[in-house]
Amino acid sequence: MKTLFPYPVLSGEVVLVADRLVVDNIPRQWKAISEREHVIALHEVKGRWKEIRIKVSVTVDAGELAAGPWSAPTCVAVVRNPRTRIRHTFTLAPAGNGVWEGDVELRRGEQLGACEIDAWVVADVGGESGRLIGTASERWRADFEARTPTQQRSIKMVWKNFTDDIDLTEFRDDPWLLDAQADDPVLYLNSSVEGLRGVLENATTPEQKVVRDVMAAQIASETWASMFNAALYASDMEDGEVQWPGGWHEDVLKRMLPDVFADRSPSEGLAELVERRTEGQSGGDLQRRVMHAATFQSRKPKAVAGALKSLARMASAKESV
Amino acid sequence: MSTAEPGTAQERMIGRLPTSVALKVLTSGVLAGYEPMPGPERLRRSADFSGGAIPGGEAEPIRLLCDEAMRRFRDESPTASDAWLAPRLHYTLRITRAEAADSGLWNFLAMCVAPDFVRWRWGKDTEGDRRAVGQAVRFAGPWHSQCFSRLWWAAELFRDGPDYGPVEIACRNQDVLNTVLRQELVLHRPAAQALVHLLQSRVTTTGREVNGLAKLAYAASATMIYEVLASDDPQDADELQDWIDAIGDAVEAPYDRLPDGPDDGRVDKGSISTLVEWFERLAAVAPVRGKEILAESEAPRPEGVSLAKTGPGL
Repeated sequence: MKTLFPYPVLSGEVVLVADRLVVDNIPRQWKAISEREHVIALHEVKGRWKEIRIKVSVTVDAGELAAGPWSAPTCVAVVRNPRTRIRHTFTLAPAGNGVWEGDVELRRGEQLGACEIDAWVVADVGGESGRLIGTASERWRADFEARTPTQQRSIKMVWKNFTDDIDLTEFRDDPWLLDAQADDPVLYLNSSVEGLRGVLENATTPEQKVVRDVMAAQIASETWASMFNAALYASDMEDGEVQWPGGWHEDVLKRMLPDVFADRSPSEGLAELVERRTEGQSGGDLQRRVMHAATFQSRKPKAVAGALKSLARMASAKESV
Repeated sequence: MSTAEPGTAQERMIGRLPTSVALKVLTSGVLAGYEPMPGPERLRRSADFSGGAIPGGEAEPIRLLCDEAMRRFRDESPTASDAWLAPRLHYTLRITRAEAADSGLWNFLAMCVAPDFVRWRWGKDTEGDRRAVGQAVRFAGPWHSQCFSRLWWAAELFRDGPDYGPVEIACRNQDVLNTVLRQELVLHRPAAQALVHLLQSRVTTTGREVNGLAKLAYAASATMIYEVLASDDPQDADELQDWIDAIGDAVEAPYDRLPDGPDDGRVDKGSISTLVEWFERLAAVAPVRGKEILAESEAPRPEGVSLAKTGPGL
C-alpha cells in the first residue's frame, strides 16, 4: 500500500541512478550495473571484498523543488537489507539544479543476499522538519549473488546423489525436491536418477529437448507452489493486521498474490489466506488458485503447447520419410 | 557435510545444522517430551562445519552460559534469564550480522549444544515429569522466535556501542522482545535507544504501552524521517572486526557485571534526546491494547502531525 501524505509532496519523478561502483577502492566495470533493470550485480566480488562504495545521484524537477511549499530540502540514500536488518542512510550533497550526489557504502559483515537502495527527499513542511516529500520512483537492488544485472531472481539449484545423502536418502527415487525451509530455498536435483542430468543440462536431440522443456516447466511450477505455501505459513496476523514475512517469503508472495487473487491487493489477499489458514479451512480452493499462479509463473502453458507442437512435427516428419 | 570424528577439534566447534534436518527431528512427540531428541552426536553428523560460520567458534563457552543461566534463575521464571543471557551471548559468540543471518547456526546451538536449555526456557511442566515445548520455532525458527537468535539480535539492535546496559533494559520486557524487536523502527539506533530511555524513565510503564508507542512511532515514520531528524554515524566496521578477531584472547563473560561489547561507536546523545522528546509527544496519545482507545476526534495529537492516512497520494 502506498503511503498517503497529509501534506504536499513532490509530484514529479525522483530519479535514482547508480553511476559508479568501487570495490575496496578499485573502480569496477560498468557492465555490473544495469540502469534499465536497476540492478547492480555483485556476484563477481563474492567473498573477496570488504567495502563496496556505490556512487549515486538523485534528480528531481528543479522547478517544482524550488516552487514547493517546503524549505531546506535534503536528500538521503537508504540501504536496506532485511536479512541483516540493516537500514542505513547516507546524506547526499546538493549539486544544484535538483540534483544530489554522494556515496553509499556497503560493508561485508552487514550484507548478505541482496540489499535495496532507495532515495528519500526530505524537507521542512508546515513547520515540521524531517518530512518525507519524495522517494525514488524506482529503487535499485544490489545483488551479491547475481552474475548479471537483471531483476530476474533464480533459486539455488544443487545436484546431489540422493542415495548417498543422509538427509535425502528417504527420497532416493525422487527426481527433484525443494527445500523451502532453508534461509534461501534450494532445489535439489537427484544425480542418481540416470539420464536426468544429461537431459536437463545437455539435451541435444529434438526428443530430449521436448522432455527437457516439459520437465523444466514442471519443476518450476512445483517449486513456485511449494515456495508459496512455505511463505504463507511464514505469514501471520497481529492485531488484525497482516504481518509480511520478509525475505524471500515476501518476494514470492508479492509476486504470486496478484495471480492468486486477481481482484485484490496483495495485502488483502494475504490477510484472507492467513485467516483461512487459521480458521482451519480445507484449503482446496487455495490450492487450486496457487496451482494456477504457479503455472503462470513457470510459463507452463507455453512449454506444454510448444512441446505438443514439436511432437506433432516429429510425427509428421516421420510420416513423410 | 562432514563427519565429526571423536577426539577432533570438531567436537568442540560450532557448526550449522540445516533447518530441514532440525524440523525433521522436532516431531510433536519430541516437542511434547514423550520421545527423546536424537543425541547431539547424531545431529552433529548432519551439521556443516565447512566455511567457518564462526571461525574458531567453540561451543563450550555457550554451554557454560546456559548452565549458569539455569542455575541463577532456577527459582525465578526462566523468562527473567533473557536480560542476563542476551548481552553475554552476544559477547561470547562474536559474529557479524551476515553470519547471524544463517539460521543453521542457531539450530545448531539449540539442538547440538543446549537443547536442555531451550526446554527449560520455553517448556512447560506437564504430567509425568515431562517438559513440553509448545513450538518447534524455539529450536528452529525465524530469527525473532528462535531461543538464541532472538536474544542475539536484541543485543545487537539495542546495544549502544560497547554498552550492553540498554540491552538489559530492553530484554527485561517480553513485549520488546516479542513485538518491538521485529519493527523496522529499532533498526535506527537512536530510535532503539530512545525507546529504551522511555522504558527506563517509566513514561511507558507496561510492555503494552511500549508496544502501542512503537507502533505509533513506526506509523509516523512513514512520513517523518527519523534518520534525518536524529542522525546516526555509521558504526565502525573495523573496530567490530577487531573485536570479533580478538575472541581468542578475550576473557570469559563476567557473570555479575556486564561485559563490554565492540567499541564501534556510541549513538549520538543529541539524536537520542530528539527522539525521546518526539516519542514522549506520541506517548501522550499512544493507544494501549486493552484500554479504551480515545475516539479519534478527542485524541490530542502533536501539532502538525496527522497520522490519518488521508490526502493526496504520492
